[in-house]
Amino acid sequence: MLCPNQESLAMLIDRELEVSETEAIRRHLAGCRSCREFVEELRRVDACGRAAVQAIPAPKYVPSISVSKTRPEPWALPNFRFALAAVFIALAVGAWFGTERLSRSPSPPPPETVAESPSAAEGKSTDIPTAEHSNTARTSEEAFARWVEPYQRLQIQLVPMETAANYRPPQILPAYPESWQ
Amino acid sequence: MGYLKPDFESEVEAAYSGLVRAATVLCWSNADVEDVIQETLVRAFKSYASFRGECRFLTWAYSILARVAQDANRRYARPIPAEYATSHPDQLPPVDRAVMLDEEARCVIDAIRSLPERQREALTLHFLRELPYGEIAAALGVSVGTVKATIFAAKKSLRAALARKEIRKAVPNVVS
Repeated sequence: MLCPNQESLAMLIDRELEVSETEAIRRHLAGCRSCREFVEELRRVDACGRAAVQAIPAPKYVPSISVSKTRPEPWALPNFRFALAAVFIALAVGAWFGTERLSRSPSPPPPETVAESPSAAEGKSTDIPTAEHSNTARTSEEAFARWVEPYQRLQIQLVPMETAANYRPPQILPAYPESWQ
Repeated sequence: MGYLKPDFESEVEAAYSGLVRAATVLCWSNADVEDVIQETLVRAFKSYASFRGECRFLTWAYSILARVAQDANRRYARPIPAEYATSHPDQLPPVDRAVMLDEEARCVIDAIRSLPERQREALTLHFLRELPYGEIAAALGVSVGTVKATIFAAKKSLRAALARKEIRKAVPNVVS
């Protein structure tokens, strides 16, 4: 019998041949030393390869933390998002109310008035209620004095509102010439 | 009777060590092994719905692993041409000595890594499990005839490389 090709001998080791082919090659190997040595060599290579690959240390599989078991980041939580949205809405409403209130409040006193006030001049805080009230009173008196000053300069008499309401102008009669009477 | 599909986690648990070994052989750089395994598992998880149990899970995952390892190896400029690498396996990046305690096994792995890509993939899967050629062909997307020729050529190259290194492991001489 002719020697089988080397690929068939390799397939014999890998059990890829039909039963009839396997039996025929085995019979041949019993009487052919060179083929037998080739098969033994391939078997050695096969064994070396398998042993080497199996010798690679492989760590045991440790199940990783699955996505469902992972604690999500705080900002990924739906409650956190709702809370964040609520805070934004509250801030927006607060800002709107603040703006409205500021637009309705009276305008601050003129700068010179503030500068003239004793507390501002001394650089003291004016958050004490009594001091604030006295300052306001003093400021209004000064403003009144400034308002009155031109009238006084022209010698115009200023009277209280009650007096002005009851004021009756003097009856002035025309002075006819005596010749007319 | 329909195929009762196991859950992904238990499949990975059974095939994990095989995948790590395969990645160690297929990757040019030892630093890539973990990344390649991770990427393989991610891709396998995404396409697990398409796995119908036509082959073993390891074989199916190996086909993904081979592609991922190819991509990882392409990132590096191949230092040595394939023909030269086959004849000079010592020039290849060696398997980490700390990992491969057995010197002889390290030499064999280096020799397998020096093979051309297709031979390396086929032979690694062949050594990993005693799979029939048909299943290897399905995993690598080639014909059975190609697998036969590829594995035979790979074994011959490996035999030559081992002969140079005089690696002789005692194996039974009886042909079963």
